[in-house]
Amino acid sequence: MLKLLKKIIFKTIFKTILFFVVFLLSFHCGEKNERADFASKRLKLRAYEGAPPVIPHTILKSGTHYCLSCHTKGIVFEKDAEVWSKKNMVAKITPHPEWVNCFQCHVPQQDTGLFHKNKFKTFHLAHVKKNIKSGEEPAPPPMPHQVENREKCIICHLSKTADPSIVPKHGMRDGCEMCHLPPESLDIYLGDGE
Amino acid sequence: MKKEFKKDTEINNSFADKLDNLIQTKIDRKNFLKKIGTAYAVALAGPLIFNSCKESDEETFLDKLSIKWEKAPCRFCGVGCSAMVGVRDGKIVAIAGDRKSSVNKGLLCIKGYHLGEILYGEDRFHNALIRKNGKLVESPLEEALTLVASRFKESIAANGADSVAIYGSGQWTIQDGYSALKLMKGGIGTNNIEANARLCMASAVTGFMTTFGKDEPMGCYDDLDIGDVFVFWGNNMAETHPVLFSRIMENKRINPKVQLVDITVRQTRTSDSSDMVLYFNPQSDLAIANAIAREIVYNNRYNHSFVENHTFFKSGTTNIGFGLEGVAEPAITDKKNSFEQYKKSLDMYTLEYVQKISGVSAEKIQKLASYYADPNIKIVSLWCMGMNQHTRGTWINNLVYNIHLLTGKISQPGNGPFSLTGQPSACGTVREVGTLTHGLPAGRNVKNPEDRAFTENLWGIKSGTIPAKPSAHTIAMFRKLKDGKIKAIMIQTTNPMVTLPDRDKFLKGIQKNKPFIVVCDVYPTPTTEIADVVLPAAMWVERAGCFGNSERRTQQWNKMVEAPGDSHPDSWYNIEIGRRLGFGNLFPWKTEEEQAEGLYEEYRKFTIGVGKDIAPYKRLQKERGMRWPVVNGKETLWRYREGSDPYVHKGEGFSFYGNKILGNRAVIWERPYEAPPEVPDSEYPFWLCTGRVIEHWHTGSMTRRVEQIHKAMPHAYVELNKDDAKNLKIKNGDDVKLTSRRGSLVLPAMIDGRAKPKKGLVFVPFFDESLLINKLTLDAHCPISKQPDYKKCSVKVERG
Repeated sequence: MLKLLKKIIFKTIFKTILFFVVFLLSFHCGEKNERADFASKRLKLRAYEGAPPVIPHTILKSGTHYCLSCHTKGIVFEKDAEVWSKKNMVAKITPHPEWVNCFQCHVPQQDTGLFHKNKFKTFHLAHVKKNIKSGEEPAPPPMPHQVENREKCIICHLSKTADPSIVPKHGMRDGCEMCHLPPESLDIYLGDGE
Repeated sequence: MKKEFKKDTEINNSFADKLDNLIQTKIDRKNFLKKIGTAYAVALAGPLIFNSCKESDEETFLDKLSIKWEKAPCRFCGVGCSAMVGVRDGKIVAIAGDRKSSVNKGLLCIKGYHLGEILYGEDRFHNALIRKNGKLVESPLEEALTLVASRFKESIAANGADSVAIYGSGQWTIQDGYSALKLMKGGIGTNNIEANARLCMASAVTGFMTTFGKDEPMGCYDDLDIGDVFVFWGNNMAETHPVLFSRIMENKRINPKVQLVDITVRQTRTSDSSDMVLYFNPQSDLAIANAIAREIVYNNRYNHSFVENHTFFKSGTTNIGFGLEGVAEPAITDKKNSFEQYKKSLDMYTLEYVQKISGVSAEKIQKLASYYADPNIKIVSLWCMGMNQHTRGTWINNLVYNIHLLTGKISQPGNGPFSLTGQPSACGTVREVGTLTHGLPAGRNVKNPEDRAFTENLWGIKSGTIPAKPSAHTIAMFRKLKDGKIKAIMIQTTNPMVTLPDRDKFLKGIQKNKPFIVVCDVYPTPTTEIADVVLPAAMWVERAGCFGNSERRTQQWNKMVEAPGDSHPDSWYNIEIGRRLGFGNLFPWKTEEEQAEGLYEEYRKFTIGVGKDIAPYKRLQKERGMRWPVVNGKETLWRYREGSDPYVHKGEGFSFYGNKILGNRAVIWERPYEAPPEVPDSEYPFWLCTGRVIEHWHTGSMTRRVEQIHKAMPHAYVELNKDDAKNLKIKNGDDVKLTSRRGSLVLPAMIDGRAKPKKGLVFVPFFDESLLINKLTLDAHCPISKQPDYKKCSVKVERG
């Protein structure tokens, strides 16, 4: 009986301490991590980091090639644009306009339930920390994602449709991979890859 | 190779090279990356550990590094893309296209990118289930295996070996198929083994066998990067073989000369990308192919020397029936033909006549014929279910080969007929291992005494164990099952209660006669609903295995993650049940790893020296697959041509060595146009065509459990022509009732959606088990291949 009581007390104390630690930690970095937000937003459209994003809007025209009419050069819609139900919509520039069978990898989503639940779990990698600022960081951060079909960095990171949180602070410089290591290289270092 | 499918960005190389130049010192690349990697890892670890405010579902970059990547061929279609599978903590967490694979060169499709999720559906089987008091109850695996073995034993003792059967799949690994074949033919001593590939590529096989004497394509996917004109014979490649279609589109982007020709009954995404579209009336493809041949022959545009040296003319029985239940069929024979007789037989297929039956304009047929005839144009014909699921499937395959043989456009880079497949190992397992009632490994046949003797000898079994007579093809097997003639059946990795044509007929018979049904699968399906025992299966990378794709490429993968609960590979079940039936000596391998390699290596012995030589298991572990025949460690890209195929001798030029008795010549067949068994009439005025959509694969039992895919295509629908819909006052999304002579179904209408059928035709995809279109289809089949025609029957269309 005493033992049980002791156990409960210890557990409560432990939990309280843990709560405070977590609370303090979260307070410590209360500043909004834009990149982490962006990363979670990204993952909502993907099964996992590296998966092709689903199409987040309805398809106005059913043909295959209509996609590129917006996604070749990209469109940033005005905030009150009526054509889109959601405000602040951006038609991103595709990093691979050479692939024209868009629906091969990208599919629109219907507002429907699941057939059966799925326990697949993933993670996301966009974790280059906010406090690693240019000049301060010990080394340039490696690329936090696969680059397959996304070899032209500037399309996502520097074009007009780029999300502000992933535009480099140092602006445009040539040869991104000179300083930022692609993840495949690290796989080799660990002996995990091919 | 004149052009690249996609630039192979060697990021690692370029990065290392650049830095090498920068620091002007030559050091070993691996060491260099190692150093850089360590530096980054340490640098990153600091801020991440001490300053992180991680969200719970977020991982650090360092964690990402613990992902182990390994290659595996995709679990879905017959293209055989190679995927990189990312595993962490014993679970698949990511998938990437494999840049080292020459099949897909880094690209996958929507299904392939979501391969990881198919393992983790919440309703996955973990334990064996046994039906007790009408309900499937979780039971110990041992109890289930003992029950299966005892029921099989009882049935064999009471009703003979032919009262038990096994029905497998083109999704079987080579090991699964080979173990099943050995168990049935070498152990139990029955030819009651079939696979669902009978429903999807049997006509391709009989097409190859009747024309070339050997199965499977002579060309390979490299043709798609090299050819000038691509002709899709009833194949919506943009949706059904998207990665290969992208290879063609990339060829077209680089080479503006490339033309795509689509022969179709509905305007699909493939038609949208095509330069010329031929909308034809169902079944009239037979007439179109003959008209093209007529144009080539009558305008003297055929390749005289090729026809003279490498072809042989034949004609066969006509009016061969449709394999309908209770209808007697004529015996099918063939006889030698002459070029003159063949020419005469083509006479009736004038452009005007064919325009009348096919609905395709004479100009378009003529233009297509000129593409085939022009010696300066490299041309590839592609097809899949449109030609194979056809009551004259064998004939239409023959007729397309005729065109390529008349023009000599075969077995050369960028030139040739190419039969695509729909399942990952329809070729590798069903066709090559021979898991069909007449089959024995590597193209052997039970009807041939030498083949039986060779097999019995290799297996070390008593002579005469393998019955000389094929028993029942798939439709006949299920007819026997429903009539109670087959008492016990094991169904592995397939879902016949969704895929059989005229499904309810079979279901009713099975419910009445109650045969003992064992199903090996991973998820509940309409087939597990009728099972007496369900054995939980280990799928894809939960076990080691091999697949063989459409271009003769055998691919191997290792086990990467553990299967849930009591799950095991199908091959393990075949072996365990074999042991319990007293055939343990046929399967000397103990662990699952030993079984994977042992079964493959034993099967490999059958393939050596017969033109199907597959590569050793150890070699395949290192390669992204190899195309057989693999002779002296080298794969073969184009068969039957000197310099490319090691089986063709010097000076022969071409040799169709499957037809040794015909002097190594390929056959040009006289095959007429004949109408299908059921055509629209006043009561059932519409054609019904069934098929596939890009999102779902086969019966959707895997892809429907992927959130992104299910939300993209949650249920089946019926595609209607705009004018037909207007006449019937049906609007997009309205409920539509389809009725055939066999059943009816209510589905939502899709008008002007992703595809638009021609007037008088409706299209329904078959993936949806709750909107089951196979209740309406007809089990008529090609009397030569026994493959049913899912593309043609007649229906009534009403507002629902």
